[in-house]
Amino acid sequence: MLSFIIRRTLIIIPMALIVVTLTWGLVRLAPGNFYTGEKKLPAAIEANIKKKYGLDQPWYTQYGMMMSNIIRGDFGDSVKYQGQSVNEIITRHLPYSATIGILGYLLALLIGLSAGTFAALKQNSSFDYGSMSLAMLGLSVPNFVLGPLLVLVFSFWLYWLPPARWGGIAGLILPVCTLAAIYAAYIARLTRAGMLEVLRSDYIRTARAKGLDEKTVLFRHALRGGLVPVLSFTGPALAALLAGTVVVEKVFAIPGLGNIFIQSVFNRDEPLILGIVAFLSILIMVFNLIVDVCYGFLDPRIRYE
Amino acid sequence: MENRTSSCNNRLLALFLLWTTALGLVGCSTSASSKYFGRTSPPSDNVLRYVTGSEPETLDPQLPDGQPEARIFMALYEGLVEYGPKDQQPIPALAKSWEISPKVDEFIFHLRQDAKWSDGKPITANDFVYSLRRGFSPETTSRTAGLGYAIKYSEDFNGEKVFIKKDGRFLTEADLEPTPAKPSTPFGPETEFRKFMQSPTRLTIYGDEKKRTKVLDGDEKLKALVQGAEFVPIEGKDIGVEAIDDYTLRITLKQSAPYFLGLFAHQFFRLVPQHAIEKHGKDWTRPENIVTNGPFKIKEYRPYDRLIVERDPNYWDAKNVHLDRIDFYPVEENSTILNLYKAGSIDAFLNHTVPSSWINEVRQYKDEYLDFPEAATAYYSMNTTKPPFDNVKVRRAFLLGLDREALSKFRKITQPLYGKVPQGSFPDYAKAAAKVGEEIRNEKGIAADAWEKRYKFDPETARKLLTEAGFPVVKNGDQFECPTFPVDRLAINFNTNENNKSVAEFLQAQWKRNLGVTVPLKTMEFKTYLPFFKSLQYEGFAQFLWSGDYMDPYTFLSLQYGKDNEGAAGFYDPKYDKLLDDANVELDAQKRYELMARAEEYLMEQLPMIPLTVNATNWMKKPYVKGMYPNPGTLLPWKFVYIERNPAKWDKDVANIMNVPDAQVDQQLADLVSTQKAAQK
Amino acid sequence: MTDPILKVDGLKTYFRTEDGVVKAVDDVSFELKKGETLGIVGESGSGKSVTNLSVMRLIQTPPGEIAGGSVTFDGIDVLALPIDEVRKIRGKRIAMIFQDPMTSLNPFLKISKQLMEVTQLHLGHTKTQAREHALKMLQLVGIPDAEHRLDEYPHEFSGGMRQRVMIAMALSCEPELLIADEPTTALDVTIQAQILELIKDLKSRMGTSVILITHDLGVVAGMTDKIIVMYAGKVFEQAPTKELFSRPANPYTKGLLRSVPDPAHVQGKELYQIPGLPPDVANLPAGCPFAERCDRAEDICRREFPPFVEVAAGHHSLCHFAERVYEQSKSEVNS
Repeated sequence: MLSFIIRRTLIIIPMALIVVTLTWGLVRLAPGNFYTGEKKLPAAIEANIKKKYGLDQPWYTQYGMMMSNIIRGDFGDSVKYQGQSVNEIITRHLPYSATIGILGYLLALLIGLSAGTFAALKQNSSFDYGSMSLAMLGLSVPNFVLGPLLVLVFSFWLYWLPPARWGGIAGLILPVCTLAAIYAAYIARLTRAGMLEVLRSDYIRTARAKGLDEKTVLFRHALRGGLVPVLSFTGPALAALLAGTVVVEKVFAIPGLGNIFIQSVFNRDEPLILGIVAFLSILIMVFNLIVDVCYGFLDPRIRYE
Repeated sequence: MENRTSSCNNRLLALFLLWTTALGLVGCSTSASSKYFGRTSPPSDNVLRYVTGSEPETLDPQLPDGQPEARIFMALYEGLVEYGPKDQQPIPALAKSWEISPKVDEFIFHLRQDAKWSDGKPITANDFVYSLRRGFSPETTSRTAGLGYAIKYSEDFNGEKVFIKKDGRFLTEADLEPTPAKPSTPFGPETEFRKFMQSPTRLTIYGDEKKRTKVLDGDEKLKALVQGAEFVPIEGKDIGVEAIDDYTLRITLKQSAPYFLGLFAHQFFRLVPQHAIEKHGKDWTRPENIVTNGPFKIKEYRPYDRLIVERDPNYWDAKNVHLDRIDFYPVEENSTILNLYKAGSIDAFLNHTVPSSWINEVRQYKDEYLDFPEAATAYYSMNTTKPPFDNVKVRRAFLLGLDREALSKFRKITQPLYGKVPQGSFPDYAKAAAKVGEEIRNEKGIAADAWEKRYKFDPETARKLLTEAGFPVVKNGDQFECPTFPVDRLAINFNTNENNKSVAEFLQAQWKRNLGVTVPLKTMEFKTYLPFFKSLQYEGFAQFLWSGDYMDPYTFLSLQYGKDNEGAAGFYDPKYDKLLDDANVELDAQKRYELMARAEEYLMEQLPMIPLTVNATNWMKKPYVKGMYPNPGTLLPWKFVYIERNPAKWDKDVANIMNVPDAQVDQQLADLVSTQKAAQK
Repeated sequence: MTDPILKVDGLKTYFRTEDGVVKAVDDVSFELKKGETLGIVGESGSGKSVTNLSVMRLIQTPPGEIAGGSVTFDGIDVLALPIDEVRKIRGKRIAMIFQDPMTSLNPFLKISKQLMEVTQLHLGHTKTQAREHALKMLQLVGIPDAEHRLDEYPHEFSGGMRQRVMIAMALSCEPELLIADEPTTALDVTIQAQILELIKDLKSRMGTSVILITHDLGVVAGMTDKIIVMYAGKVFEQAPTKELFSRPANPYTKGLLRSVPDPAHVQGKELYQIPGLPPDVANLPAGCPFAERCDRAEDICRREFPPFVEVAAGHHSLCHFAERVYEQSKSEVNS
């Protein structure tokens, strides 16, 4: 297991560098640059800017300089937000996305796992149909519809919660719920399917034949097998959540990483784009590794060499 | 089992009904039953909560050129003059009074002696010298430095150019093109520096050898002249800014520019702290290092979340700053901004923000919604270098084939634009234009009513013009067709944006109906669109918005001035340029406007672009926020703003807000202006 | 004569499906005396497994339900018990082992856990006690190096070993009745013999009554005291083992017996199989369910449901011609 983890960890950095290189290529190919606005810049000023950022050098020199810095973990300063380093920006805005993302996912797990498990236990009951229909709704209603709907109900009809912006527990509730909805729906359906399959299996029959009560059968025997599909889903889902769901962040004006990332693309802010892309790809790879390791713990039949 | 299924169905049905009821309620929930839009009660503290738009790039006022930062800079920094709250015309700020030279190419400013930085250090004329030299310095990479290029040698300094020294003296323009020496009229103390400024303008050339060689190879005379010369880099000390003494500042322009006074309120010309910049370098704008000089200073800065500024006790006019604190929130989504306003979480927000789907609803709140013309225009450039738009008849046909009244109604937040200059913003110019219009009409012998509607919607004439241009318009049933017009090569180009799209679709429909021509639409993301448009790669129409850099019609007319101009229509006409040059040396303001009006009339005859609409301000503020006016640039001098807690005195019917006297604001304005008035006596 | 330990009387277990009602077990009765081994033989779909699951009330409800009859275990009416009382019997007094030990053991848990939880639940063992007991059980069933293997997972055992583990698990609490549902079907022939020996051995040591379910006549021959033959959810014949093999009274049983390949037979001769396929239990014809495939079926067979005839002491057969078949078998033996 250990050598497996080491091997997977070692490959993360080279992969991230490849992703960064590809992204750099795309950014360079995209027309437009960070300093053009609606008004044309005088030639002198454009020359000054190019000189300052090394844009007057040949592309391979620029690539080389950039990569040598990145390998040392230095992504430089944002070109749009003068004087702020990329690392600083990422560390500053990550907590917002992470808070909303983690809370959202925990809520989704709570709702999804319980609903899915109950639905599986009471298959074909009204609870089953009801909760799965609700899950379908959760899957079909997009974030940018659900978010404003929640704002309408809770901010304007009831005046209970603020409509946007980061601020205290109250400000967290609506964005977390909006985010949780779709994941709860997925998790509920996955859990139900997984649990149904497990509950049909022979070893559950054996457990019952041994005289164990339903609760023990469920929690000690069924849950581990039933969780496997949810685990596969969690890895990439959590990484995406941590990076910030752009829609929720935009609708609720949360200063999270997703918001920053989209802005950086529109701004053609190359260092920031590369920094965030590197960060995200490492995050996804780390999460996938954690998920795979968890598989190993969850299912003893899986052994890594 | 049967029973169970039907009970499941019942439950689902119930859920569905609940859902549709909810949706129905959503639809019915909006109604102007209350007087104000959403929660309207003043914050308990003396605080204004304002949404500025997107996150500011930086807190350094000389670097960025965007709108969101402008309002923040107006709170943190001050310059020689400030924008007047209602009309944006310059009022005294750090300068108590000023004098303008007869040729309008020199300014002397008399500074206050009690102004201080937020850390208590006194402000002197040297701060201005430093700020301007720093702003124009190439290392600073300021994006707004271009606004100040009228200052002598500033453009050369910014462009890393050099003087040419030969035989112990500097070469001048007279060495290249003999011109009669212009006598210098006295203006202020005669210092060594002034002598330098008033001496014949020196020749400059690129400091970079490659660029220089390129220029020299194209000009034999210059090349010969430059042989064996020494190149002296132009430095900050060479630009036309001089501290005559600690509290007197003189600025020299390279040509007369009557509009320049108002420009001194622009963020580029506001002061930056020498001592902080020299100490911290690029980190000087960090909250722990920053030093400011405006009515407010930074209290707390959390990027993308909030920027909180509080009254600066060291500000020279702190006693007249009414707000204790301003909370600036960067929010980009327009609907989120409106939500925040409705919930009462913010008190006002920036211009152009109310989404078009909300406008009809929000218009009803007459005490809050501000719908005034801006000094900003929307128009379609036409690429005149490519046929068929190289033919003025074709261009005019498309102009006349468009009903701009209808467009403006459709857009809800604009007014039709018939010329290049949005006349609503410049009442004196409008008068001059009317006068000039009469004169030209008589010169050409055109009847009054024909003249009146010469640019207005006239589909018949449009079709006639198009036919005359070689693209006959034929009638087919009750529709028009123009089969020979090469639509497959052309497009209406615009950057991706809901408003631009709806405008493009509207125009497409108009031209189809009136001319029988269906021009396809083409859209791309903003940063992709810009180079496509500016480098004249487009064929057909390209949409553009232009807002004035300063409050003078010249900022609109200069778009088409000179080679390689911003107009991106491939239009360059020395005749037009001359008309503008003549205007800018005219000292009498009204005569100057008349000359500019002639230039505008000429431009409209040549028609490189189709003017569409003037933007409307389109923002809201709570009625208890006073001292905040919808001026043409939405540039708000914050020290006039105050919170009125007596509901009887809240703003009512803001369509009239410019005319309703506000004793406090009027008095404050009068006090400020009095120093200049006194000096002029 | 003591009361039988298990008495199943007229048991009916039906399943509601989209195709209609499947009468998986239709009026099945049998008795088991203490210490006896009963074999239940039949093809797939005959209802043999469902019968035994019904005894333990392990039928999934829905879609199944026990529609009638009674199950009496040691005087207790099992069908009438509340479910938590049933759980007290399961694993403790009646234990069951299943066909495929790989899927019947929980792959996610160590076998120590799976063994220990039985005695912890039913005998109130502490962890240490349970573990000791589990170790003893593994040794009892013949797992080598039991000390170490106790902490392993099911996938680390071979097929035969796993079945031994299942047996160890089932017998942990020394149940009075062991139901073994096709315990050797999934195993190699050589391992089969070992497992059967093990069951026999343990049975004699603990005095357990055993129900052995299988489709393999060879298996029941050496193990059981009496046999019931099931077909289409009904008991077609029941008799003491020797009697059944030597003097079967039912054409179906005879057919089964003929199907067993005889190594003494001349090579080249075709193997016998009962013609036709097992019936669709959701749509049974009116008369005898076997009529279609029976080589001596007559009109009455197709029309009327056959009687359950006692042809000898303890020997019953469901057939219109039971005695005649019996007589015929007797004569075949003698010839």
